Amino acid sequence: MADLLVSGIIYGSIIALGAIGLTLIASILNFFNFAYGDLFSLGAFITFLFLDLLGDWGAFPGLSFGGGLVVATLLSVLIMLAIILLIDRFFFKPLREFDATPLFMSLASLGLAFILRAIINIVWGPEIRYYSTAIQISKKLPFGIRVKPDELFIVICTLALVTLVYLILKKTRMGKAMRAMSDNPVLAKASGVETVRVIMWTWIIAGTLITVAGTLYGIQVQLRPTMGWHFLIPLFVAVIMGGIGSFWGALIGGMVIGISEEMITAVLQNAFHSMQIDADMSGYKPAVAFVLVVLILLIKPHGIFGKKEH
Amino acid sequence: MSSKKFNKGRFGKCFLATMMVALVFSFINSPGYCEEEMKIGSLIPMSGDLAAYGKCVQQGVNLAAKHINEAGGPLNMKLKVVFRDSQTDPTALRDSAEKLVNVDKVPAIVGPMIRSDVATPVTAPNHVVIISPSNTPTWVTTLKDDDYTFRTTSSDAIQGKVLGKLAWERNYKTASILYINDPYGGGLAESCKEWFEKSRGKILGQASYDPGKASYKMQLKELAKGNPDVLILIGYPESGTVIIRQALSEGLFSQFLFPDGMQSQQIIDSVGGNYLEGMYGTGPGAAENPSYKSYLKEFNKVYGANPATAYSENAYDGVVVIALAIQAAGKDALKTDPGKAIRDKLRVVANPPGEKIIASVDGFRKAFRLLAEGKDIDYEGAAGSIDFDEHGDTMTPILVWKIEKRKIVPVRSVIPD
Repeated sequence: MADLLVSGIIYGSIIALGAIGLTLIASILNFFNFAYGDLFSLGAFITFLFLDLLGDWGAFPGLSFGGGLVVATLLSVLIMLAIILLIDRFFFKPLREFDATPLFMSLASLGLAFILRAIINIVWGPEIRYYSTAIQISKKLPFGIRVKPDELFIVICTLALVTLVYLILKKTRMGKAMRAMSDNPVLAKASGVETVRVIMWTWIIAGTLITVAGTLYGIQVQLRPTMGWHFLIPLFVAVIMGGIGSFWGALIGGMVIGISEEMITAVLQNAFHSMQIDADMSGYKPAVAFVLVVLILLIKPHGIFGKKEH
Repeated sequence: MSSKKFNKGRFGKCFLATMMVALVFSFINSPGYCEEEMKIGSLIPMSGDLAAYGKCVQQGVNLAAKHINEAGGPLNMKLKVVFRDSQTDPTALRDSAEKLVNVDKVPAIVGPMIRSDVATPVTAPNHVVIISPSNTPTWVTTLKDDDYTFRTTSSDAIQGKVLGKLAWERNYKTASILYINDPYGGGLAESCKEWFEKSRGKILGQASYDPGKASYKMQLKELAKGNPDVLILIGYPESGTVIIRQALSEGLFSQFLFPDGMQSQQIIDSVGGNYLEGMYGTGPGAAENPSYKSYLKEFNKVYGANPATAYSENAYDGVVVIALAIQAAGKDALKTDPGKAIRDKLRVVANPPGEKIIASVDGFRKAFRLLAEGKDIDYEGAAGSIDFDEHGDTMTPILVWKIEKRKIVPVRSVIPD
């Protein structure tokens, strides 16, 4: 069980990275960005592209990748930010100026999601890819826990980024402006918050997080054009569960989804075994997230950390 | 929230521009000169879990269309294949099937690769024949389809038997089965289990998985209890490789056995090192006949390599029997109810008696001539002899393969009894 808990934390930390970006967009730009999952895939694939261009840089001791992947990820973040800001300039900004409703914006982002996925399919094809096909044998730790060094890296990387975003939101003027926009956009505008710059920085933070999250998912699992689309469900569940706009909510929501998806079916399976009932619970794994979000919304309609509407 | 009205002028211009573009494209699509065309459909996954198969199957379909047209085409018409993507997704599959039936108005479809049950609501009521190259589950046999559903591959009842017996033959005394949560996985897992147990083997655990997940540790740990000798992994390459990699890096399994769904170079390329060296699997058997040899030669000539996955030859046979059935039906029958006309002639051209037809341009030329003369033919396919029984099922050989020097190599073909 402890082993599954650890593996849930690793998966959960990738979800949390994505969920923080998504929740910022949802609260500051006031719509659910369905294209976020496919930006996740695009980020991972652009990293793959640079990794390929950079050639073999060797691997860090113990890890499955080396400096090449780090540099590729940084370059990928830059390219992704350029792409995302261009998309905002030519796609979302006209819609905003149009005073499109949040529903309209969400549907438009859904269209964008299809376009992005089609582009990935055209450029990279439908085949699955790996940054490194080498298999890492996991290290044995006490309590039956097994972790790969890569997984440790994923958790550390997530912690560092989450701390950075937290500091930006808490300590900088821009962070305060972002929180103000998310709390009450009308009041924020009235008190002289520069909306345009706040929106730009929201995209920059969310774009960086999603690119890194995509790359981490690529290291841990694999790259496939539909990776982000499937990842969207846990992301949304995490954001809704945590409460839209809540930093801590997204972080904890992501962890809860990651851990519960890994553990709940196993717990149920063991319970059935001890009752001598022969049932295969593994097929119900995808239902876990949904049952959880329904339960939480029944108890706390605005999510764990959500605030009531103004 | 305030909302501005749509700018009608701008909207009108956009609409006009869209229509112009559509108009231009419709010109591009229409044939430039008057050559009669016979359209058939192909419904295969070009994206999603089965995309690698889809790509290769499409090559098989295109090769068949090329050969048929080089031989003059059915009733001297040009055979044209309309492709629609089923995205390895049941909803998209149904949507694409409806488009092929209602928009493209094809009388026959090669596909789908999985889930032929689309026949009951969509294709069969509209009198459209579907010939699946790869839909192996046992339930396809008894599908309510008014005899419009065929397949050019064997039922899983047969593959499961070979797979279960192979596990025992490979000296595995105990096994766990992990299967994909769909009708293919469930059906094959059942028949494999049945035959492994009949061979005195013991199944220690059985679990299903959903594709597209980041981790399958929970299922793998559950299945590894009691240290079974082998993991029989019934699934598709995309998530299948995630499972293999996780099983290896967690040290839970080192021996695997695969069915046709995993018979792909991709699983070897995606798992580094020599972990999969010497693993065995089953798949659709290459018929050791002249048709298959000719098919392989032609495939190499056009694509410069052997087929990357299984089922391209089954799809090839599907296109060929449709084309031959069109020729046998004649123009008049095609005018009234083309789907029914093709359905009624499929067994005539594919089953004995009649002159044996080899899969080649010359063979098809001969077949067209014989059919025009009103004679009987018996197509011998590249995937097997392709003789449809009363359910539209065929018996094709099952291949036993193994991984050697990071390649899938055939070991032997098992002719089902």
